[in-house]
Amino acid sequence: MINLIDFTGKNIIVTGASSGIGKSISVSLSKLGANVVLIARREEELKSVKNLLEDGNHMIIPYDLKNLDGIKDMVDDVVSTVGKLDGMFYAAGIGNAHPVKLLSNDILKELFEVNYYPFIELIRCISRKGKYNSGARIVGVSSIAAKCGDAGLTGYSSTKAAMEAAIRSMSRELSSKGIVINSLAPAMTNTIMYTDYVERYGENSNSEKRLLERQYLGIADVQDIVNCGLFLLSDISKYIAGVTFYADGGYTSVQ
Amino acid sequence: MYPVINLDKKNILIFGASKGIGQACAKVCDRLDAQVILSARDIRGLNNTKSMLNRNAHIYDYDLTNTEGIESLISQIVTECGKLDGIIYCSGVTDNRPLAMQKPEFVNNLFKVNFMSYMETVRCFAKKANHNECSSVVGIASVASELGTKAHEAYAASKGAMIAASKSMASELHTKGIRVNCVSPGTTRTEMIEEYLSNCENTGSDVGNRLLERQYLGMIEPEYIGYAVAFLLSDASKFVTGFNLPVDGGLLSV
Repeated sequence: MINLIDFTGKNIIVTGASSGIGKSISVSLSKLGANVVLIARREEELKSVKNLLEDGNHMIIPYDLKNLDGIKDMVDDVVSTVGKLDGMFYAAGIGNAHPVKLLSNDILKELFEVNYYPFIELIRCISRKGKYNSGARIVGVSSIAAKCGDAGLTGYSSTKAAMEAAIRSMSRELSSKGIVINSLAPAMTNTIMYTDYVERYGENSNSEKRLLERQYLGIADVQDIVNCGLFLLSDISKYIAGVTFYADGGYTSVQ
Repeated sequence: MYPVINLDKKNILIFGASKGIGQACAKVCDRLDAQVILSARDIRGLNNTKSMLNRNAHIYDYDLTNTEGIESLISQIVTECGKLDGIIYCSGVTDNRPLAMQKPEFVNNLFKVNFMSYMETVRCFAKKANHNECSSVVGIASVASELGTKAHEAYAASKGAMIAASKSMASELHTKGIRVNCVSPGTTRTEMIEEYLSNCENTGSDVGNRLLERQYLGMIEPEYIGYAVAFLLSDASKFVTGFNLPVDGGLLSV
């Protein structure tokens, strides 16, 4: 059988690589032949993720993406170490819920400082001449929250909607360089965000029952989301651009 | 889990398999070790597609304007080939003409093939005897459902109907382990499109060119529609249902 999704020799950045979707896609990418550049804040976690990868020219970068000013040098450093980039999977994100009355400007700012600004800055730096290969594919992890409103998610959903809007424009603009960008919008997935959610509402809460009425395929396994990410990063999705890919177990189709 | 997209031992029934996107889907599924079953009106076209495949494909010539006969067609196919794991519905009529000429009979005929026979196919597929657990349906819709284009009324509406029905069927059929999704291609290099573009040229219409301007990645090669369909058929997409995936070179996003 042919292997349609293959990353042999491709250099791919994964942010948020220390846990959840970012961690799992890093492992999958390495199994499919990629050299993975793992970025996250926590060095110890990054090292243990690196140990899970298949052999390859991988690199770990303990880095707090809130530090926007250092991103350009970091990208330069990555490219001089592993070579030009073929893709990025942006899984870094914080999903804290805040009711409107507690949504101070500081909290709002912090959400954008992790979920949005570094995404744009990374793409700005990667799309400079000499830093990428034509055919590079970028995926931003968005959320169904960008489309479907929910109490407490004002800030979070705004960052994801901003990301999706930026992706449509950037993909159009950077297509002339051979760079294509899409959004991947998961529904509730079995990561730390789900653990937090269960902690907040309790097990089998009414909130979760309501959620599962719409997300009728259940809570997503991380690998289910990762597979969609692999598809969007691969060459076979060459003509998919500026799209929001819903991996949501039916959620957005039943509203 | 590797390869990520694996259709080994899956029985995939493809409508509209004699040419264009259906033929491309057949070739991709065949390369992924699926057992493909080909259907279309044109038996010569079916044999042509069959000759391009590595595995021996079953072929069934069938005219989808006959919606009523689909139930017995599916039964016959399942009896002869075994239970199905997936359906790709690529059959479709594009017949664009001024609204003044889109009389009820015309609209009805177009809807029969583009929509009613699709829904009937899925209805029959969903019967317990006809499908395996973890099966998947992909309807080939079109970006036309989102674009208000003159003379496309019936065609655009039939594709919109396909997408809307797919979402409802997805939510109803998940208890049977069936996922239902659509792929909406932009302008794809097929005979149908070449004909359409040359028609545009002959009539002085700029619709074709305007579409390709927005479709900033250029004309889509049909095999890439096949790849997206194969992903949606495979277990790798088992959390994706009720979704309409544009494979449109960016068209709908700008």
